[in-house]
Amino acid sequence: MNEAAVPARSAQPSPGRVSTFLLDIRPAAWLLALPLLFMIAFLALPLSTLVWASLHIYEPGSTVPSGFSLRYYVSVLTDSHYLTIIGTSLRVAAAATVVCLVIGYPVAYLMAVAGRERPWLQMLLVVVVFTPLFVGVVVRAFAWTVMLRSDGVVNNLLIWLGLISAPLRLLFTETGLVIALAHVFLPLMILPIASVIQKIDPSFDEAAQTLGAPPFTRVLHVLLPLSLPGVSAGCAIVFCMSISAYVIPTLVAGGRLLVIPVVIAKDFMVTMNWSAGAAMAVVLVVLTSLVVALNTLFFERRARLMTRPA
Amino acid sequence: MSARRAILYAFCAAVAVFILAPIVVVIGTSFSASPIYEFPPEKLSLRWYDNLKEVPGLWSAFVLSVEVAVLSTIAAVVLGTTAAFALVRGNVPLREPLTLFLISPLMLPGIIIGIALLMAYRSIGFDSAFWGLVCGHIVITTPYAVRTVLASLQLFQFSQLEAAATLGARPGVAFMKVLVPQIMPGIVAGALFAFVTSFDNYAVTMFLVDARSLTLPIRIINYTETSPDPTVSAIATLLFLISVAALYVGDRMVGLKKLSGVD
Repeated sequence: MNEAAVPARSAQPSPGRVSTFLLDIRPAAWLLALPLLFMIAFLALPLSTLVWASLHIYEPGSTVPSGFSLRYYVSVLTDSHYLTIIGTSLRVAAAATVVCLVIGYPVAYLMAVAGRERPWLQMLLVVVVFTPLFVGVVVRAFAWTVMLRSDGVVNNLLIWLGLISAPLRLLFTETGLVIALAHVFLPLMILPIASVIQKIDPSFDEAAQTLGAPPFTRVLHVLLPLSLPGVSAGCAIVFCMSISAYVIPTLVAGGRLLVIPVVIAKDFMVTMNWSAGAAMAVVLVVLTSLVVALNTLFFERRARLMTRPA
Repeated sequence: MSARRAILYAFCAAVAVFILAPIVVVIGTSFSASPIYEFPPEKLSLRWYDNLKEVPGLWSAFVLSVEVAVLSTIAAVVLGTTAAFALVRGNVPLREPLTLFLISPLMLPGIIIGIALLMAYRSIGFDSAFWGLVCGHIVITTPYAVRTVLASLQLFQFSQLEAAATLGARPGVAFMKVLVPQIMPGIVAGALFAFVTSFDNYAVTMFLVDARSLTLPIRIINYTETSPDPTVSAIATLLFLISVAALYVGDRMVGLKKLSGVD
């Protein structure tokens, strides 16, 4: 692949030097020191500060804690104000995940199978699905504030189609938020499913066909079960991104619809109620970690993360 | 073409329209003469592009965003590559938990990283907004580099280096001419994701900026709150062009299919 063979010079370097430089595996471990130290200093320690703060009382406005307390967790998990917020967040994130799955799965399927006969179609779909990921979330969230206005494109289209007679209120509503979340995170549903479907051996489907299974049965009993790891990964990613999203609810729902990240930001920036915000933050992290862990537990036991080359 | 195929194609075309519509609409409204977001525009004009220079602090926000993105991308590539190298070649104890730790910011809500850093900086009295911001962005960009370089290093056959040595290549030459070219796509992909992530970030950034130094996403959202006119559409259109340029670079150097994981 590359012209590795540089003409041997008279003083032949010993292969031993290469091996101490790159092939001996023990010194290479030291390369991990710097990245690890950085991440401990700027990720692990700050996160511990956060957990610590959630367990202590801060007088509002003060940055010095005054005593240990579990009261913030108790209020986050029992107070109806907080429970409503958590409920809204779960509902919105679940809805966005379902929308992404329903509209994303067929696209992922076509993207995966088109590669065999119609490479141009696959490329086209990759461009359409992948491009938005490079267009920032800020730009896409702003775009939805334009789309969802009462005189915006969505309402005009629905009126033109005769589906509604007066504009719907979409901005600052849950419906509008779900549409925007589903749009922004749709690629994160499509890509993992497509990459799993692509690896399914087509002979399974052919076998089912030969044995007389009708298309619907083949989808239900061959395609869906085999693509489940992709579906699970896509759903976990979209759910976690949706429930963690801050920019999209801020712009599309104007901060009026209270979801977990919006409330955390308010606690830190406006009311200066650090401990309550920190407790809410810990609840959010536990929630998203659980979703990721469940997905890993059921579908990634082979630990794709860190398989060493054979 | 069977009816089922036709339905599948039509459905996917509709989804493609859904995916692209917001971007098309924003670009359309940026060329409209109307001060409300009008699509399709009745009269075309460049007034919103002209208005860009009237927005105070827009250029300095853009410059700050570029500076932070460049610095954090460089750091992410260096940290990510060394970490990936150690994880693949080194005799690292607890390999899997450490890898998970290094890429965990991908799974953590940005707002959590933001408030955690805010509290940590306050508690130790670290008050350089610029460097605090850069370090925050390094935390969220490094995982991309770790992941992409790790993926390409795992595909690299290290016996090629022995072969190069046997053929007389000195270690440096073997490294630069055999290893580096083969993991370059991973490094470029990691750098692209890192740059885009940093440039677009809002959730971590909002806790770390001070009033004097705002990044572009913060400035844009502040502007939409004070004066909701299509000037933001003009900014969004220009940012879209930057994204397309980044994608083009990615496609030429790595390949779009590989970048997207569908290959």
